[in-house]
Formats: sequence, C-alpha cells, structure tokens
Amino acid sequence: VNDELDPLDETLARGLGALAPAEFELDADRTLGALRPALRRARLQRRVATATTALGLLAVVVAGAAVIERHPGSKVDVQARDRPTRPTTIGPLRSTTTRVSTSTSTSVPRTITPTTVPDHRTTTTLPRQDNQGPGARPVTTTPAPTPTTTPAGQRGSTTTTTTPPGTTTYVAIGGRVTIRFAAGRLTLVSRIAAPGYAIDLRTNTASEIEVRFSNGRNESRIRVRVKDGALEPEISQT
Amino acid sequence: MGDMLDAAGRDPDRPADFDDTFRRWWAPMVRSLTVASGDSEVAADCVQDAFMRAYARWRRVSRLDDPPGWIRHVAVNRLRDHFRKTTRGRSAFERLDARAITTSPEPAPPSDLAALLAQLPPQQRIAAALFYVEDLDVHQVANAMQLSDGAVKYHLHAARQTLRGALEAQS
Repeated sequence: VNDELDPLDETLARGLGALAPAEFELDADRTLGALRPALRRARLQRRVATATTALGLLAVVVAGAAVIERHPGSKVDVQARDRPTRPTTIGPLRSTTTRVSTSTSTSVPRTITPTTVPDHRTTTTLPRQDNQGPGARPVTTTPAPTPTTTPAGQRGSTTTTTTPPGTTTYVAIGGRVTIRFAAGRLTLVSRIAAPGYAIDLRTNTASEIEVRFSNGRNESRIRVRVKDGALEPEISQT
Repeated sequence: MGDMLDAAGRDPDRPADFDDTFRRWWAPMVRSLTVASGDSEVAADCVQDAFMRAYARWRRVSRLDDPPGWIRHVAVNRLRDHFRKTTRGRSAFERLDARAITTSPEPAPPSDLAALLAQLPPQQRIAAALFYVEDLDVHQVANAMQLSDGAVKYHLHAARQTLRGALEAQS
C-alpha cells in the first residue's frame, strides 16, 4: 500500500484528517498536568501489587521450606562402617519396629573366649554381633563379658541364650534410654529426649521398661522386656 | 553519540523521557483513535489509559526499541475492548427488544465520509485511521494492531475500496 499512494490516498488522508480534532485543540501539557496525580497513583498501585506478589511468593517458599524441615523423611543417615552406634533414620510416617535378637542385645567383645573346663573338652562360645539388625543397635555398653560355662560333667558345646548383666543405651529418633540389667532385673538408669520431644515413661518395672518420646507429630517408642532371662528390646517410630 | 538521534528525535542509547514522549505522541494518537472510534472522548480515554500503564512500568517501557509503539498498541487494545463492549451492549438491547433512551442532545449529522467510516469493520477503521491520520507506515500499523504486514495491507485495501466509492459518488 505504501508504494501505491495515489491521489485517492491523499484525498482520504485529508478527509479523515478533517474528522479528527485539530492539533491545537489537544493541549498535551495541560492534559499531562491534569493527569499527574492519576499517573502517580497508577505507579504506586503497580508497586504495591508487585511487592505483594513478591511477598506472597516468599511466603510460599518459606512455608515449603518449613514443611520440608518438619518431614525429613527423605534424609537417610548413612553411617560409616566402623561407627558403632546410631540406627539408620527411617521416615517418620512409616511405622517400623525392629526386634533385636536376644543373643545380640548386648555388646560383647568380639573376641571369642574359649573356656576350658578341667578334665573336659567343653568350650562355650559367645554369640557374635555381626548379624545385628540395623535399626536398634544398643549404643553403649559397660562391658560385662561373662561367658557362660557349661556345667562340669557336661560334654559338647552349647550356645547361651541369656543376656549377661550390663548397662545398655537404646537410641531412637525421639531420645535415648539407658537401662541396667543385672540379676534378671531391669533398672532404668536414664532417659533423655531429643530437642523438641517430650518424655512419657509408660512402664518401669523389673521385667519391662517402656519409654515414649513425642513431639506432637512423631512418636518414638523404646520398650525393653526380660524374657527367659534375656533382654528383648523393641524400638519403633511412628 | 549524543548527536545520533532516531526518527522520533531522541538518542536511541538513552531511555526515553516520559514527559517528552507524552508531549510528542499524545495528540497524534488521540486524533487517529478519534477517527477510528468516532468519539474523541473514547479515544482520549484509551490513550490516557495507555500512557498511565506506560508510566507505571516506565523503567521497562523506556528501554524498548519503540516506546510510543508500545503505548499505541495498548491504546488500540483498549479501543478494541470498547468496540467489543459496545457490540455486546447493542446485542443485549436487540435481544430484549428494548430501545435506548437518549437523554443527551443529538450529535451533529456526520459527513458522508464519517458515516461510511462508521460502517467499516473495526479492524479496517483502525488500520485506516492509523495509516491516513497518524501517517504511520504499514509495519508500524501492524505492530500497533498486532497483525502481520499482509493483514494490514488487506484491511487497508478493503477500506480504500469502500471509501473510494463514497468519494467518487461525492465528486
């Protein structure tokens, strides 16, 4: 169209131009002066809207971070091989219960101590700790390696199922409990809650101790019982 | 490079000044949109609204290649909104079989060209007004209307054909 401008276009330009208000009728300076307050208002409104949007986004990000902080289910505490204690952290929403086998509930030095009974070739072997479950390992133990000796006169080798006396600490996410086991009786030595958790001592008898740690959302439970002369700890997380 | 000025008379390396832009482009935009809408008040409202939007985000708009083009585009969109509203209102009246009660005095009878212009579709009216009144080239009209150059040429051609008949009948 630009290339085809002809007299008709000039006539149209003149005719349409005559329909528009004259330039001098439109006072830009006066209009601009009258428009100033509205312009400032428009800019202020836009800034407020932008700031509000930014604050909203920030709030969403902070809320998201807080939610992630409260549910560290995706975190897995990977332990070094030689580290002796902490259980693997399991997602708090999953309920897990780990039973520790009787024969391994107490740390016993790995050294196998053969005991020779005079005049007999009977050897008693203590169980190793190698097959312990990952979730409920006792933490510390006062060494009380009392190898059980086969009574005199008995031949052959046997494996004990009793727990030697000693002090054991059980650790859960919500806290830790230290229990002494001696003469077939349980004694609660200490109970310590993790930050944010409250302690609830449910049972404290010679044959069973149960402590719960709760922070309102998650609950850790440590229960230790004496069964057939051996400790039966149970640590769960809900 | 302060002496290198563009067609609008400004240094292309320097962000545009709002007041200068307003003084330079306010009247031409109002004139062309008055022809497109047939109502100077509506045209002034559309252009004013476009300048207010530009002022609110001037830091960004001033750095565009063509700030007046951005403002014109917003004003044309506002005018299209106005056309849409008017059409909807008219349709509603027709559906209700109602008559609008006019309390304002009757406007002066339009010229033949104005009457013919009013019968053109909005796209042709806007294209013709921007091209003939504001003296923009096809590409600038296309930018303002968010159309391709070819579509603008088509609308201009159609408008010319219609208006040519009126002008030839007059002469």
